[in-house]
Amino acid sequence: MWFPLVVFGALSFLSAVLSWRMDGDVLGIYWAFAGPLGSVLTAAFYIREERRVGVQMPAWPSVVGAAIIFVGAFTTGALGGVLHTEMVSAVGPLLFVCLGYLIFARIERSTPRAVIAIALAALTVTMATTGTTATNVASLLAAAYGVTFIVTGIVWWRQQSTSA
Amino acid sequence: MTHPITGLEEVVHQRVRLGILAILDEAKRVDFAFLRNSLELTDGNLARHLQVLEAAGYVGIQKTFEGRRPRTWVRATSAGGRAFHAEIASLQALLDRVTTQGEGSR
Repeated sequence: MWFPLVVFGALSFLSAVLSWRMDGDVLGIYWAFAGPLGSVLTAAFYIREERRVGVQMPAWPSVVGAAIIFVGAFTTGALGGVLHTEMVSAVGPLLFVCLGYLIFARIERSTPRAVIAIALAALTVTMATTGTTATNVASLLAAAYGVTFIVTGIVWWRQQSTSA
Repeated sequence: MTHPITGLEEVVHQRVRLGILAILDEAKRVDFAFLRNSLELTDGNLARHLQVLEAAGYVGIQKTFEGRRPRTWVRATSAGGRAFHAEIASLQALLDRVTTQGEGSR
């Protein structure tokens, strides 16, 4: 599971850079392309790994987890626009990312990953209630998510490499 | 009340075959080499146990080619999945019984 963490971590970090330079509409368009791109890369990686290792896992839990993230993230992102509440658009999608990460932690039976998901959700809620502007909060959180995912992905990959 | 061991099934209970079904329970399908390496078996030994499970209708075996290389994939049938979980339930019942009796005699 290290690969999707690194891919989506990098995409999150890039979105943080974009959100500092551009407005919120650009981020919606960015994720409309980045989300499917990351998913296709992840699916290709897993198909290759399954053939290499010789174990094919059921795909439906991952598909359901990814669908919950994308549908929830885009719905809350749009809901914030309809309600004219920028903070909902800023943190709603991120909370769905945490929920998705929690689902994947359950699939992988990983307590440390579940703890990371809950910690990120707590950080998101804390920043949403104490942060200055929605744009700043979204940018900082996207950067925090990106760094957390990349670091945990690399740590995970190293653990797998040494145990193989 | 019958003893929990009456629920154990010879075909599934054997150590290697229980290991095969335990691995297949977590995956959609697994290749022959992965099973052989995970369970530390020889090709012949694994093939023999797979034949027993296949004859009981507990696994399905699919032989494919990837390029010129042959590859054998194994998956648990729904009957195999049910038999494995029934075996685990019987073992759990036995474990509960032994644990309860052990606590009672202390």
